[in-house]
Amino acid sequence: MSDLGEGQPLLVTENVTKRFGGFLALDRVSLVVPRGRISALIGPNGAGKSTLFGIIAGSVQPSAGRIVFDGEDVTRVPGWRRARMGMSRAFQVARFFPSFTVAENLRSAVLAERGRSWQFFRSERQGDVEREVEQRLEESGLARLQDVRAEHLAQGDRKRLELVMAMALHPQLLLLDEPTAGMSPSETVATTDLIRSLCAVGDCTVLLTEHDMAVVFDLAEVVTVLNYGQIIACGSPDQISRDPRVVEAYLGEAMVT
Amino acid sequence: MGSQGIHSDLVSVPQNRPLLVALLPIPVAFVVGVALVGNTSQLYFWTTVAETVLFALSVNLLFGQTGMLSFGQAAYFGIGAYTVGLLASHQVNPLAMLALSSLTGGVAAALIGAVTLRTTALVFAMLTLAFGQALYSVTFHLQAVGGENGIVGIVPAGLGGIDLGQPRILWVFTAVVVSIGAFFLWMVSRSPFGRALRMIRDDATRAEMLGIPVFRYRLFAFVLSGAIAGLAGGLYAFVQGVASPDSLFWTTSGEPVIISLLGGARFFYGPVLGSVIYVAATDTLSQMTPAWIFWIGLGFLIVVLLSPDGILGGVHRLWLRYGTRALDGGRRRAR
Repeated sequence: MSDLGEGQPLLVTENVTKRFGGFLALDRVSLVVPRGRISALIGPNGAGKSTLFGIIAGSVQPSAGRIVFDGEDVTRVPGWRRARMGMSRAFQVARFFPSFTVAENLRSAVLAERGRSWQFFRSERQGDVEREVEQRLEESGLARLQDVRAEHLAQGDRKRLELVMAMALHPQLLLLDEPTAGMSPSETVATTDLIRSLCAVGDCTVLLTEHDMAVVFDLAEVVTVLNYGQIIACGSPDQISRDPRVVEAYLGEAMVT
Repeated sequence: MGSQGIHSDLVSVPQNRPLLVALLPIPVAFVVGVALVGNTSQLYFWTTVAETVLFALSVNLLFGQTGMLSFGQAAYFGIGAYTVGLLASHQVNPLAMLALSSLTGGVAAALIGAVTLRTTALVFAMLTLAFGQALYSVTFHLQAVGGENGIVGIVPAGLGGIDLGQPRILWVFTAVVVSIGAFFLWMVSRSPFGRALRMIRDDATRAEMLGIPVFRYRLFAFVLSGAIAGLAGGLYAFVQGVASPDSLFWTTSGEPVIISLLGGARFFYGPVLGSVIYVAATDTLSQMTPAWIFWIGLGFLIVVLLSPDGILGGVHRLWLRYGTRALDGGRRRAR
């Protein structure tokens, strides 16, 4: 961890705990996400990864603990404001606007990012917005699908659309919950390239969860392992893959498959 | 392009400005035509349609665009009607009365919305119904506003020497006010704000995670809807000459929802088409049979079963299937 501590980390969770009734989903999780890096959160199903994502993004309230984003305590800050502060999130099952076309989905994200959504009497079709929409469609390879209603997209394209929308917020922190889930091998490669290119240009920080270990070890510079709601290890991909506790809890089975 | 499966959300809010401007003479000619040749019953029919259109459009801003089903929009409609009813005897300027109707409707919606919108969709529907019925019950028993008879014999004061009591003039006046209200709603629907409302309709969590404060947008949509419903209620009081507890009853809230579904709630003009059909159907059927409500219900059921997204939805699907094909075929042959 120490070799990655360049200045203040972008995101810190301090002893975050979440109880659902009697079930302890997260137990004093303290996670540090360094700036400008790709971090991964791994662990078996039910380890609490998605719950932690929800707490970081503001859609789930923690039972105890604090979330510090860019030096500011955001534990009580609503999700929409965290998005305005620079957090952007893609869900495990892609969420977008199903009745909109692909281009309209992207336009929605760009309008929101530019703070135009309180305009009442201007048309939503604005030159600079349309140019950005077009450019992002080209870059992501979604241009040929721009007039398709999003609900008619194939699984891989859905994930990709959501990712492109999340990126359109120019986020400081991009939260990706299994970005390659349900994708074909070639789509997976395209998506990892897209994530990497994003981090190469901007100073974007990424926190992702992923079941595909090839993707994790390919992309991530820091890996944190969650098991039964607790962090059991944290380090470089190299350290993690040799950690006996991690191999026992998770990697053993994952590496074989 | 334009083949099946390709379908833009833009059909819900027509945006083609040159086309809309080119079509503008049609409604203008219609309003003037009805004013010139219409007899009293035709004038009354179209004036009622116009006032229904405005109410239905206001409800559909919530229902079709934001995905909020309120069963209590009659409250704001009725408040608008009573505002005009109470002011009419004081010879207040009709435009000022309508402005006040809109204001009272909007303020009431802000108060009730701030409470009811903090709940889930189902609780919201029930609470709006409860508030609406409570208001109905109060006016029904309050002698100061005429009790169960309401305020009768409302005659709008003259507008700069123009007598609004004249059916022809009242028709033109109503058509102009409704057009302004509809234009306002159309502007809002095609704006980034309107887009944000449809984002919330499709997936509120996704909208929130893109930085949209969902509660504030819903509340604002609710206030806008209440203000336009109040305006429609004010017009209703002018047209019908009464402000009665009936205008606050829950069935008055249900009508615009049925009208929107009939015409196509996903389409901006759905409630316009729905209003014409609904008012015409109730007029004709209620003269033919006492069981007219049954036939209205049956007709509604058939339309919704055949085309779940209303008449415009059905037309749109037929256009995608046959119209665009004919167009493509024509192009190919021309080449």
